[in-house]
Amino acid sequence: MKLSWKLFFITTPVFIIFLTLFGTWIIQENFQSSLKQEVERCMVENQMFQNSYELTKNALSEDQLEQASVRKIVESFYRRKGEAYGNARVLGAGWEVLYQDNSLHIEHHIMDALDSEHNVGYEIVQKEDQFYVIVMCKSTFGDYIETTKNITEIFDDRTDQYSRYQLGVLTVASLAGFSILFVLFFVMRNMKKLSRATRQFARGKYDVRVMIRAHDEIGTLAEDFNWMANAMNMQMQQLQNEVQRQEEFTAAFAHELKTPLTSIIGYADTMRQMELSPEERDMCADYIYRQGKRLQSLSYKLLEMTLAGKQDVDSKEISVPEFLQEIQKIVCVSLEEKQLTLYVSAQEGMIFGDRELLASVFINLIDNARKASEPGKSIWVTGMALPGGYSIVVEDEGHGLLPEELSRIAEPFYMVDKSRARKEGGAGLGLALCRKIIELHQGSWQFESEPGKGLRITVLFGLPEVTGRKHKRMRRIKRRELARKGRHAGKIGVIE
Amino acid sequence: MIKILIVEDEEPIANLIRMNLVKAGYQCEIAPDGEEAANIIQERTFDLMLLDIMLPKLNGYEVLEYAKAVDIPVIFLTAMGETQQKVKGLKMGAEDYIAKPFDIAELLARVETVLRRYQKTERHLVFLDIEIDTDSRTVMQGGHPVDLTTKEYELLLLFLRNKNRALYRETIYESVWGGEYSGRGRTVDLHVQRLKKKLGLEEHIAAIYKVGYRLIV
Repeated sequence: MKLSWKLFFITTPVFIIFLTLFGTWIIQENFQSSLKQEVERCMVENQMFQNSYELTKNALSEDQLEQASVRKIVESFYRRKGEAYGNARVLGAGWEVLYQDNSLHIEHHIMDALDSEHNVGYEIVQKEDQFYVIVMCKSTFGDYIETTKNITEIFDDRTDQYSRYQLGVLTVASLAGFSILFVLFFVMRNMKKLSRATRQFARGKYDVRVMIRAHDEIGTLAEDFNWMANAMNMQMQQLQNEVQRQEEFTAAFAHELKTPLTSIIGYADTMRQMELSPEERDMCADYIYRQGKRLQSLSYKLLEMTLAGKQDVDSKEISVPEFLQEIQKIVCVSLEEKQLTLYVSAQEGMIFGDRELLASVFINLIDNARKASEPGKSIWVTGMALPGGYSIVVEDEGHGLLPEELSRIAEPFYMVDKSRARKEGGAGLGLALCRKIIELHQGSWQFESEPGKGLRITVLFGLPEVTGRKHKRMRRIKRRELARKGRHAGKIGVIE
Repeated sequence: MIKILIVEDEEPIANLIRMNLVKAGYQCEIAPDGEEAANIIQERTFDLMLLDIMLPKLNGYEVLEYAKAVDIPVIFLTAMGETQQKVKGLKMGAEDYIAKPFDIAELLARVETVLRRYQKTERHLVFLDIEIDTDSRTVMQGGHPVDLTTKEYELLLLFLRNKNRALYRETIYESVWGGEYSGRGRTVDLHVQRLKKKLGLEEHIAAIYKVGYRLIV
């Protein structure tokens, strides 16, 4: 059974029972108080009758008393009063009727209850679907005065109220029931929407969202659902990107592997099948050797990348000026060979990380700058202390990059100029490796370049003390700063 | 002389192919990128093009369109072993494909097959006093016709097209008989012996220990 029907069938009877009980009680109370009032009024009437009767009788002398009949007495004070009480009877001590207003005669047993202490009593009697209250008292003359009043109206009122109330209860209960049903249907419609969306989502329709504008729990649930769906979509997107990156990497790697392998297998095959001149044999051997070397460097770089991905950073404080001087010493030989000038300047400051890994980042970046530069040009490495961290900029005057190239340079095996990269001994993994290491240090980098005007790479590091929540906030601020800078500088690839 | 254009941006591979094709008696030229290849075929005619797919400037598929315009048969050289890429190349009108890394024998065999399909192989082969006309499949020695079985004829052609090259038994078996070489049978040796005797080539077809045979010029 549906929840709405369940609630309907539970609430409506409970409603009816509760209202009926409550209403019955009220009506009964009401009836009781009316009855009590009526009885009291009758008592008062009876009392007045008794008073009048006794006064009149007392005023008479004994002779008069003997001559006058009870009827005369009653009629005399009736006259004085100007009207009749109605329904009054006067009975003698032996229950004989001395006076009677009308022919109404109702059986009752009040006289049985009257004694010396209680000289007045009443009874409510039903006679032919009429209700009467009868009050009887014993006068000081020893006769009984009985007054009767028809109170059928009170009983009728009660019956009337009951039936009207029942109708009211039924109406209210059914109205309430149906409004519950209506509200529930409305709520359930939203629930159905949600459950339909959930099923669709489970079946793989991941772009499904729920449109519920209610500001209640269901609305919140719908919002939560949408939020969850978005989060899951984002995670799936991330996973998919990761898988795609992995696939691309594998494909690129297979390609990179096949090229030197083709040369090695081909030249070796040639050597074993052909009688070659010594020069030809030397050439073949040289190709095999060089392509073998290329495979070796590829495997080293790959290993480095895997290690960089798995390694826990052996974090230590590094003084940047000292660190950059060290790197300058390492790279200066290869730069001098190409007649390039390296300018290193750094503000006092610390970065936090693995010295070896970070050194390989900057050696790689400077090496890339060397490969891109013509002899006679310069390379700048500048360290700057920032409020939230430290930035190191590597800038060259090389041939620069197009925006579409800029966005891809950190992809594994991406080479802007393949044949030149090969001649320079590149495997196309340098920047991919740098990216991994920078990611490992929670740093970020950005590229700015224009074709023919060189490349500028900014690497940003956070402050070492900043950890946890604060650290996250710092990174967010940093990212925002980068984004702002990006808008001003035009074409920039920000990778984090 | 048959002219072949090698379009390959990897210099070692381009040189490798050229070296082997030149030794097999073809004339070769190298284009290091797609644009240059497109330019060269506009200027000169070639009998065959070996075309890499991943090329700078213009990719292999684009160069293929240029080649089709001037009627040059194309064999794709591909490092991507993916079926889709092979199918795409073949559908676009390439004659064949060679997957890197490849054996030299395979390269030569595929080049020759395509050339034969286009009837661009030399129809008249001469070696010493032996003349072969590939159109009529006749062999003459000193002006007299020599009676050779089909397999012996195929074997002779294989030797003449791979002068000075050490032919492995498996290579010989695969190209003359077709199918997988088991390495046990004496079929290849028996046929080579008979061919040597029939044409008096004992001096020229040398057995190489544990490898196979070589036609020495």
